[in-house]
Amino acid sequence: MIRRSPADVGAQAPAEETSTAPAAGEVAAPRPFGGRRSTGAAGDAEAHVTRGPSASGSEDDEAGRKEGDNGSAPLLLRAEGLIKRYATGPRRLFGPRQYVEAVRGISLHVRAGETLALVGESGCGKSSLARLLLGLTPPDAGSIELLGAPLRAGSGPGLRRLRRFVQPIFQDPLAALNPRHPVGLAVREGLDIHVPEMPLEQRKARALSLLARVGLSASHADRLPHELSGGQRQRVVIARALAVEPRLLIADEPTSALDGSVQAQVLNLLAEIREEHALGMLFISHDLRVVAHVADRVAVMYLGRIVEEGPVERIMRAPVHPYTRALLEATPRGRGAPAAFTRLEGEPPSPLNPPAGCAFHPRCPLRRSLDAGAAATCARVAPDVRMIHGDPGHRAACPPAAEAGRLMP
Amino acid sequence: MRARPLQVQPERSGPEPVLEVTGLRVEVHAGSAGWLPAVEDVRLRVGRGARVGLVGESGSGKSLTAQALTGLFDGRTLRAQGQMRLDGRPYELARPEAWRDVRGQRIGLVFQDPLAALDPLQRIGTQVVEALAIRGGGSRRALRARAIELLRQVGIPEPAERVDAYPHELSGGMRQRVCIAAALACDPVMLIADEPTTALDVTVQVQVLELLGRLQEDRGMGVLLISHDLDLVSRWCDEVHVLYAGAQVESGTAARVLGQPRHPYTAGLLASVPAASHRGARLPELTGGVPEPGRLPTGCRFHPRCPRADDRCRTERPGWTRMKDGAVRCHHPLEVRSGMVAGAPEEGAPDDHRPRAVADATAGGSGGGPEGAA
Repeated sequence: MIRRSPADVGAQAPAEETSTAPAAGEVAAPRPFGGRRSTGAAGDAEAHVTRGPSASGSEDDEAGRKEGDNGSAPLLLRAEGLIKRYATGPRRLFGPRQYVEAVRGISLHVRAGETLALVGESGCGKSSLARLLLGLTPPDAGSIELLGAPLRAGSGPGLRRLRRFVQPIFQDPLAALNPRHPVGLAVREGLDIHVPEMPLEQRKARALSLLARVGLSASHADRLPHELSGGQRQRVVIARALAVEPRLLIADEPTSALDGSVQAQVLNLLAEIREEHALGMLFISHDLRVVAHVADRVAVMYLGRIVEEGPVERIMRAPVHPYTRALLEATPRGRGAPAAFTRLEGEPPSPLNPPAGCAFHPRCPLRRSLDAGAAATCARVAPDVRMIHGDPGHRAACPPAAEAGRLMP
Repeated sequence: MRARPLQVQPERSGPEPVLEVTGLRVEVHAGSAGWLPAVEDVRLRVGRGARVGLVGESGSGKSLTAQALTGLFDGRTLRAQGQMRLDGRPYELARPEAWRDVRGQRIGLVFQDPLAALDPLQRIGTQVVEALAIRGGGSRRALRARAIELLRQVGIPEPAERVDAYPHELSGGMRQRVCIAAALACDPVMLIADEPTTALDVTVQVQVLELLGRLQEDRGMGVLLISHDLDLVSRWCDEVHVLYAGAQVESGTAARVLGQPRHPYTAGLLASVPAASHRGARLPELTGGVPEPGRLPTGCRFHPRCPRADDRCRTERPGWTRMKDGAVRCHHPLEVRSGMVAGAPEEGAPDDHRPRAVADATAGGSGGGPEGAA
C-alpha cells in the first residue's frame, strides 16, 4: 500500500493487518522531508515488536520437525516480523512522501547445516529481505538475531564483525569483484581485513588453497575477473566468501546468470562446501527447479510476505497455497511433469499498490471457486500463516486452501 | 504421443518450407585476431505453421543466427554467409542491404528485453502504427484502429485506452505483448523470437508462450524460438536444433531430441537441469565451459568435455548421422535408451503438455512443412 507519510504508519495499520505484520510503532515519529533515519533501527524496533504469527516460529518447528531436518543444530539466523519500506515518488517540499513496503512482516530462521530457499517472482521483496539480513540496510521494524545476538545494520566495526559470520554471494560475479584486482587478491582481501595478524605468506597460501578448493588453479590467481568465465568468477566469489570461515551464506540468485551446464557445477560446489563446513544457507531463487534440488526448507514469497513455508518435499509434492501451486505448474519441468500449462491470470501486482486483504486474491484461481462470503473475506482480510493440520513444519497463509487441503489430492 | 516425423536434411525434396537456410556462417571481428567464425554450417528448415526451437548455452551462436537471418549486421563487426529461402524466394545472407525490407515485413522479430526494444519516449500505439505503416495504407485514424485491434489480439486489456500509454507504464509481460503486436503488424510469414520470455516471471512466461502459440496457429506462421531453456523448448516446439560452440550438434523432433537425446552434449545438458529427483545427490555435470570463437577445439568441438571422446573425436569433425526423427553430429551417438541420461525422461513426455492440439491441420492446409516426409 502507498503510505501517505511515515507518521501514519504506526497509527493507521488496518486491524486485519496487525495480525500478520507486527505494529511498527517505532516509525511513528515523523521525519521532516523524508530525511534519512539514523541506523540502529533494528535495535530500537525490538522493544516494540509484538510477536505476530510467524512464518517460521521456531517453537512450533521444534515440535513439527521432520527427520532429516536438523532440529538440534544451532540456530544461526532468526528474523522476526521484518518490515522494510522505501520512500518513493517525487520529493515535495511540504507534501507527504509516499512509501513502498518491500518487506511486509517476515519471520524466518536458518539452522546450521540447513538450506532455506526463498522463492518468489520479481518484485516480491526477496532481494530486499537479503539486504536486511546482510545488514546492508536497517529494517523499519522487526528484529534479526545472528547466533542469538541482535544484528545492527550499518557500517564500521559492527558490520565487520557481522561479515565474519555471514557472507553474501550475489547473482553477478562480475559486479561483485573489483575489475582491477587479480582474483587471488580478491580472495585474500577478507583475510587481510579480518585476520591482519596472520603473516602475509600464510594469507596468500590460504587464498590459493581456497581457489583450489573451488576448482581453480594457482595460475588463475593472477588473472583479472574479466579473464575468467562466468562460472569461474562465481567460484572466485564463493572462495572469497569462504575465506573468513562464515557460518551462514546468503546467496541471492547465485546461478541465475550461469549457463545450464555450469549451473550444475556451481550448485554441486555449494552443496559440498555446505556439507564440509556445516554452513547454513539462505538460497534466494526464482527457479523452483534449482530450489527443489538444493533446499531443505522452502519459503514462498508473494508481495513482501511469506505465503507458504515447509520442508522442500512437502512444498514440491503437496503445495497448499494457490500461488505455490501456480508457480509449480508454471515452472517448465517438461519431462515427466504431471501438469499442463496452467495459466494464472494477470501479473504480479506492483508493491507500490498492493491489493487489500490477501495480496494474491485478484489472481487467485481458488478464490473463483469460493462462495461469495469467503471470496469477499479474501479481498478484505490479510490471512495469517497457519500450520497445515497433519503436516509438520508446513504452513500456509490461505485459510480456504488449508481447509480444502485435506481433500485435495 | 504425436508422430510428426521430421526431415532434417534440407536438401531432400519435400513440400516447400516457409524458411530454409543452408550453409549459414557468421563471423565476428575480434580486433587483431581478425574475423573469427562464430557460427558454421548451420542448416534450418521451418515448415509453414511449424514451431522450431534453437537451443544452446551462451556463446553457442543462437542469437548470432537470428541476427544473420534478419540482416541485423553491418559487415564491420559481424558478417554472414549462406543462403536463405523465405516463402520460396532466395536471399543472399551476405548482402543484407539487398533484402532489408524483408525484416519486419516478412519476418517478425521479438527480443528478450521489451523495454530495450521499445522507444521509451513514444506511446505504444505510435510504435505499433509505425510498424503498420511500413506496409502503407490507410489514414492515421484507420492505422490507429488497426493498432488497437492488434493490441486486443495480443491480450492487452482495454486496448483503446492503453494505446496511448508509454512503455514504462506497462508491466514486463504487457510490454512483451506490445512487441509481439508490432512484430505481427505486417502479417509476417515467419516469426523469430529470441528468448522472448527469459526476462519474464514464470507465471507471466506461461501466458506469453500461450499467446505466441495461439497467434502462430491462427496465422499459420512459422516460428523460430531461440532459448537456453531446454524444458521450455521441449514443451512448446515441434522440432529442435541444438547448437554447441557455433555448430549444430543435434536436430530432430522435440520429443525425440529432448526425450531421447543421442548427442552426449544434449544428454549432459538435460541431465544437469536440477530437479527434485536429484535431491541430495550430485547433479550430473558437464566439466568445463563452452569454448570461445578462435579457441575452438579441433575435431568435434565438444570433445574436451565429452565422456565418450576418443582419438577420432579429437581430430575428425563428425558429419551428420541420420536417424528416425532427426539427425546427430557425433562419432559415438548415445544408444537408444542409454543409461547415461540421469533421470531419462519418458519418451514423448514433452508432447503431452503442449498447450495446443497438433498443428497438423495448419500444416496440411498449406502443403505442409518438413513433416510428412518420412
